[in-house]
Amino acid sequence: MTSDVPALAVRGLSRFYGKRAAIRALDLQVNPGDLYGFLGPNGAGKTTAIRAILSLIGRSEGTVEIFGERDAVRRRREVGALVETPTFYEWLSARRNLRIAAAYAGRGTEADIDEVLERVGLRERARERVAGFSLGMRQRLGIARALLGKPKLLVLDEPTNGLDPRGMREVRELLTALVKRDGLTVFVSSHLLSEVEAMCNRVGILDRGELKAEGTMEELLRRLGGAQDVEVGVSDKPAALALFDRLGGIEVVGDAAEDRVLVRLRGIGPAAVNRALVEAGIEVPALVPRAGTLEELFLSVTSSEPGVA
Amino acid sequence: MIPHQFPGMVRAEMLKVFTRGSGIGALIVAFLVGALAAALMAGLQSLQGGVQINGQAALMQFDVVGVGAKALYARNFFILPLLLFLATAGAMAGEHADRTLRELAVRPVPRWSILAAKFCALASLSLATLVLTFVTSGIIGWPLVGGPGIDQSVAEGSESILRLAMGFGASFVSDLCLIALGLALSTFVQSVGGVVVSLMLVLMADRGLWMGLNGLKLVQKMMANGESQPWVDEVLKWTLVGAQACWEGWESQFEAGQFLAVTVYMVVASAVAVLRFSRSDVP
Repeated sequence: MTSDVPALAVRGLSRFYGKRAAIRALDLQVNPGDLYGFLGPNGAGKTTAIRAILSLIGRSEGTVEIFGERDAVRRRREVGALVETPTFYEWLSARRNLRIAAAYAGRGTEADIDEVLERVGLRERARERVAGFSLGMRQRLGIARALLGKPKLLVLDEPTNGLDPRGMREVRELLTALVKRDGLTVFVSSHLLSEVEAMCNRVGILDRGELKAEGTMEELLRRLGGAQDVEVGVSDKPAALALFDRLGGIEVVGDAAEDRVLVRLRGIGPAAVNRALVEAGIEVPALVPRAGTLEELFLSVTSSEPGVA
Repeated sequence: MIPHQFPGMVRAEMLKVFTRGSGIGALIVAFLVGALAAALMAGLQSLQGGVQINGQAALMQFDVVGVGAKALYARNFFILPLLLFLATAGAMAGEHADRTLRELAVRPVPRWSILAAKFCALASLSLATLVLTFVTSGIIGWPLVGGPGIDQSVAEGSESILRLAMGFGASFVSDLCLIALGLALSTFVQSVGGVVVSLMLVLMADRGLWMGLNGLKLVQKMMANGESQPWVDEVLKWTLVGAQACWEGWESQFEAGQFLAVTVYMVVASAVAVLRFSRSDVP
């Protein structure tokens, strides 16, 4: 799905509580078809940002556009949202809760309700009161409610909270399918790096109310000078180590095996390293990027001090 | 612009209002008030049935209008307004406290329309309780004490069902004012208990003013041969207690001033609720 109009464009968004900034000059863009991961430690301001995007709270500064629409009511027409732990009318059944949501959305038939319940695996429990639902079931029902009315943009705040590993995986698969199969755009906040890494194509990292980095994984590593660990297999280890020393931007982290070296690349890509080795007459039987770089990136751009609420 | 989904929003709010404990309680009490009024009046009538003085009935005669009148006074006395107010506080402050208001506020509708939908649903609950009390007292009272006739327990000339129905209708206006007040208070205090306490404080202050004015009226009468200054009566109509009692005119004469006052209270409270809710953060 391609379009010139961003699904979500946030410009200079700030929210102050007195003199304290919960979010400050936030700029981010989510393009149609993106599965955008909004990362940040607890208290970074992710939920505040989402609430401001959805007009649940006022903005001190800045603009929010959803598919080019600035008006608070009109821009919510194409949005399905799940903010924090979903809440329901406890004494009503799951189906009746969804009927209320559909009535307020102005769209969503009984067939649509059946479809979203089926999608999150709650069709059989639709007549039961929500009061008896577990946290995981509530989370899934919250996702079903966000999907009602076939929105173009899903804004989900920590959607896997309270889910067991199987449930988390199901949600990840559901979101991926929504993007790939149904052409939705998904903006999902999380503090779980593995979750974001596993499903998102673009990432924004928020810390203490400020966006520290945004882009694809590759872009982020490049732009921030972030490290990328690569395991390099070489035919002549001493010659390779000497070459790394001369090239610069390559830090030898350790020996992965007898003929392999683990290096951390900064400002130089694996392709350039491979080319330099080959040109120096050193065979390269293996060049394997190591996972876990998002964690390093995350830790490098976020503060270890407690953030804002 | 009224959102196209507004009728659906009202239905959704009605679903919540009529299934909440306060809503169900209000309907049960409304039924019981009508039924008990009929049963008590019939019981009283049967107790005095055989007693005659100089060949005439010794005590008062009742009819279905009298039963309805007693039901109306009982309905408006305390419990039903309180239950209606609890339903209002639950619909707004309760939803604020348990975060369900957020799920409505993320939908593509203006904030004022959420309040309006709640107002309509609560108004329908008030109407349902009034109709229930009126119909129950009539259906049970008619066979027990007889149809419209002479009822010595109501003022002369007010023995018609139409006049009684006007009293019930005026109570609806009074209820609407209470609902608007509840919605307005719910934008300041975000818990059901807090809203009820706030209302109590408002009513106590208002009752204090009402009592003070009545005391002043009494003093004026004592000092001026039974005459009090007309402005005191005018101000009394504009106290909340005075305005809320607009329905009491069914038995003698409705006071336009009370209806004007109750309408002003309703409009001001609604405007405050809309302004506050439109600008407030939803957690």
